[in-house]
Amino acid sequence: MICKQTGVLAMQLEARHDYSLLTTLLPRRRFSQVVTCVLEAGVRHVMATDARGTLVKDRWYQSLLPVVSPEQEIVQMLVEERMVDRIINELASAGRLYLTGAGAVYAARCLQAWIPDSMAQAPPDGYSTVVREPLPLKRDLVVICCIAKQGISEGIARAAVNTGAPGPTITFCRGDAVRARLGLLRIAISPDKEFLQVVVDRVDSEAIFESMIAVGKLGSPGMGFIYMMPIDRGINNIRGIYGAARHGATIQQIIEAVDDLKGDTDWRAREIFEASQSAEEGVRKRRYLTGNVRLACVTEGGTADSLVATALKAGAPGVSYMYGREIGRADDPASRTGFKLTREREVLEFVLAPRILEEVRAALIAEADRRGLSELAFYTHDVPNAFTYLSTGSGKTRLPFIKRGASI
Amino acid sequence: MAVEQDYGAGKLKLPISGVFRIVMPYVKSLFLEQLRGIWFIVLYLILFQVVLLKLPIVYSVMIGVGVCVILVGLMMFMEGLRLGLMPFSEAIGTHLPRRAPLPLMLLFAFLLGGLATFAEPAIEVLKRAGSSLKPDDAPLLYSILNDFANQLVACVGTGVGLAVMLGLLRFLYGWSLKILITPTVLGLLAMTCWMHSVDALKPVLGLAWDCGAVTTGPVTVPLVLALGIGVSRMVARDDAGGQGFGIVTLASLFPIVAVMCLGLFHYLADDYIGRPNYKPSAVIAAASESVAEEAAEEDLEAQAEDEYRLDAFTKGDLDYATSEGKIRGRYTLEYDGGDWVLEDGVIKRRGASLVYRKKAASFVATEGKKSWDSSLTVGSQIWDAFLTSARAIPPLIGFLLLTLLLLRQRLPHADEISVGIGFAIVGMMLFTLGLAFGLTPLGGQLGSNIPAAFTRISPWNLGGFQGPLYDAVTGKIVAIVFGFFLGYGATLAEPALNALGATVEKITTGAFRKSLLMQAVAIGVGSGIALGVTMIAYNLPLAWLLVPPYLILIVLTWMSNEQFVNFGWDSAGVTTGPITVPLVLAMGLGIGGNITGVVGGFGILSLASVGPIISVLIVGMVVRKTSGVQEDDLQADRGLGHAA
Repeated sequence: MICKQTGVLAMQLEARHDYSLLTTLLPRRRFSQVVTCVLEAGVRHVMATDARGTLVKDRWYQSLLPVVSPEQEIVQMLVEERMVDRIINELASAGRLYLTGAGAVYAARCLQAWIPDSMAQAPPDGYSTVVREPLPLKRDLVVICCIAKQGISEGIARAAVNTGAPGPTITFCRGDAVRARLGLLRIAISPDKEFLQVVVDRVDSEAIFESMIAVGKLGSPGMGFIYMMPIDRGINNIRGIYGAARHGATIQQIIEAVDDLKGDTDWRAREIFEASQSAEEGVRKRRYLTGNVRLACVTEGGTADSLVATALKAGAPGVSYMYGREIGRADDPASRTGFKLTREREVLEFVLAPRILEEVRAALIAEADRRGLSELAFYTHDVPNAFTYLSTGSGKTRLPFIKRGASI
Repeated sequence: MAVEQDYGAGKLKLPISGVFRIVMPYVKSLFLEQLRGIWFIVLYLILFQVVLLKLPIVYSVMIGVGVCVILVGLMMFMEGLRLGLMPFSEAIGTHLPRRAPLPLMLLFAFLLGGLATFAEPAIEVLKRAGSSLKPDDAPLLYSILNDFANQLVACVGTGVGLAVMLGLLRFLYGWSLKILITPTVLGLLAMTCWMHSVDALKPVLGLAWDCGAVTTGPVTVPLVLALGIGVSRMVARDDAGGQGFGIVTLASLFPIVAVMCLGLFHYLADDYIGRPNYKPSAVIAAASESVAEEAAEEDLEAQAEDEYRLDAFTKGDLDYATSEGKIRGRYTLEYDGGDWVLEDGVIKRRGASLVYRKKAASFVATEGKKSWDSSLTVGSQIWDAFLTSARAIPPLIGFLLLTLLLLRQRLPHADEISVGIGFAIVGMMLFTLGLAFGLTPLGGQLGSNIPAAFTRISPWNLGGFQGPLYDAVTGKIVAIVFGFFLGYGATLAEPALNALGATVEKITTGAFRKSLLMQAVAIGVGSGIALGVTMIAYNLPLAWLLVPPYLILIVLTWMSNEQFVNFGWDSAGVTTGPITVPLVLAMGLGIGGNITGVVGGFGILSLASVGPIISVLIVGMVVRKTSGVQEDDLQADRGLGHAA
């Protein structure tokens, strides 16, 4: 690679290894409170995305009543590892995340991160990492992420809840892969997908992963892509069931108490695996994608299209990208009349084999340079296990566009 | 097992079969989506006519073809909105606050609103309705629709332009919609009450409220919604209550004010027809000619109807009897005159004449039933539809393109957007065409046949009589129930509401489902129309029925949260679209024509706009109770009980 010593490229040479991705899932009402607190705790900027929670109705008549899924917000920030504990603690206190059903926060250490200085989050001078009265954090967590075609995510979410997961958080995203290679014919395939994420204990993760695959029929072409990612530590109090609060404890609190007594959530598994034997056979036959990495690329809003096309040309098998807005930067853009404007962001996510990671990244940087984008951040995470439809046999006889599940 | 994904790259060359395999499921899913929207109203209208009113469908083949064309048209139009118009408008919405200074933004908003008004086909319909008015009945209304027709359109355009402007300002400054709605509606109600008490102004009321309903059509709504979403996405915000909505509401309310003011101005200036300051214009002469023509046509129609009179045979019946040797229809036989004689133990009446009296019973002459309306020429209808579509979409697109150039921005996915715009134009043309051939004649015949439930009528384009099928009270109840489901079904098929529902779903990241909004709105519209039918069937004044719901609405609005206020009020603006309006007007005219003292079927539409706001706000309150928000707060109150 020939390096120009200016522009994005110059900043992208050195990978940092001490960064963590901190993600919070919150009900919308707590959003501004938590963001204010995080910004006070030394974080310079965070990225927020609108989301909805999952709602499982526990009474028969609720299926007749109109219900609206709980609105949530996903707040993400890329910070230096030594800041993580204090931020988690302050954030959890502000958002009362220790309460049952209040939300979740987790930190996942990046394998590598390439961050331009304007977006870097080093602790300010004299930053104290000491946490007074630390909240107990859970270790051995796993986040399961699933990109599903629109309309089937509700069923997948319910399957996860029934197998013992908290209610998944769902956002809209766009997916592109072979679609982008179809020319104008691409309008026939909707790029709109839904992105589910749910944090679960490692011991439960396999069962939940399998049930989500089974219910979403993710082994069929064009349905979706699912992967899991280990998490270092976090608090996980997302609720799965909304019920009446007429008793001394809500059903969610009771479930959690039983979970504590039992030590896991296996006792909650039902339905999915009782359903059919063929489902279990399917599990045995499944071929997983192992040893991949997730490459995420944060870019300016409205620039994703050309970057996506570039990445796909460089050999990325598929990409999902979602919209977010960055909050807290002092140099926020303003309109020509002085209104404060949103700083829009787009995040591209690829799950790919480590061997082509550099190739894709280099292509993205080159494209960003060409377009004169100054802010482009990358980070990678381990993805030990992923699953989607893979064509069997030679693959040459089949049309490639049905090979890729969610990415199509 | 080590498996890998496909890491291929480069443009794909697909064989024809591959293209087919991609396109077929796409077309199928779009088609099914529209079928789901429209099947109810079509099947319902047919079944009602055939089963409950016991009448055959006239022009059945034409209607069948028309419905198929509507399906294809809607399919293309909706896809065109999704691919072309809405992304285009949203892109402009995001660029505007970044690039344009405030005055330019406001100018853009004003022009867009005005232009959209000229594009809406319904304005033309209103103007055309003016020519059939008689100056003596409502001189001021007549003058506004004829002498001052251009002022009327300008007034409505200004109203919509101001509304879009205010809507944008609202996003920039984060004003609550409640604060804007309340004074506007209260002012409107006060003016309505006052104008109701002035004889000259009273007829203008119906026009004013109707103008509010018709300005927000299937092109304006998606465009304005997408624009709002683009702008409010760019403007930094703290809370997320119904972002991007509200313009449609204002665009429905402001034209009412504008038209009322126009009426008031001419009332005070005293320059309408028959007043001292009146200056006759050329338009009038042409208009009165057409009035005369129409009157002549009506006479002809009346003569034609004479052929089937309720209680007397006609010449046609006599011809039939002489040629066939029997009487057509039901009759009673009497003997008249003659001498009573006794012959061979038998009493006879010699020289008596046999009198056949027509029996007053339902009798539908189906011999003349046609399966295609020969007065509708396909060519001219296609041309009309093309003109409607060409007037509605290209000027707006041109304006948006100009803005884009002015902002010096590139359009993302320009190829997709151009395909989408093409879809929208062709789709709207087919949709308009399908309406003319399918839904309008179907709705028209039902509208005029529905009074058969409570009175005797001559069925639409058929000979004979039908009804009363039920007694007066039951029959009117049947008509009211009919109105409810008509409104319900037509609303579910409305393209603008579909676009609104999809936008709501997008804005709330899927939390607020499109189906929930559409059902709530459809039930609201159905109730509003049922109320409207009641009003006509019992000849109640509109003001009585309009003012109380709006007062209730103000209260509900203040009790609801911002998000539902936005969704609810906006959905009121979009419900009265190209499917509902002709159906409802036909029904109103049909029922109104059979009730003494009722002129026309106006006012039902304005009631159909109140219904959905109330229903959506009520749904919002139920949702708050059922979706666990309160439980959340309750738990928080319980405090640290569970803090690990």
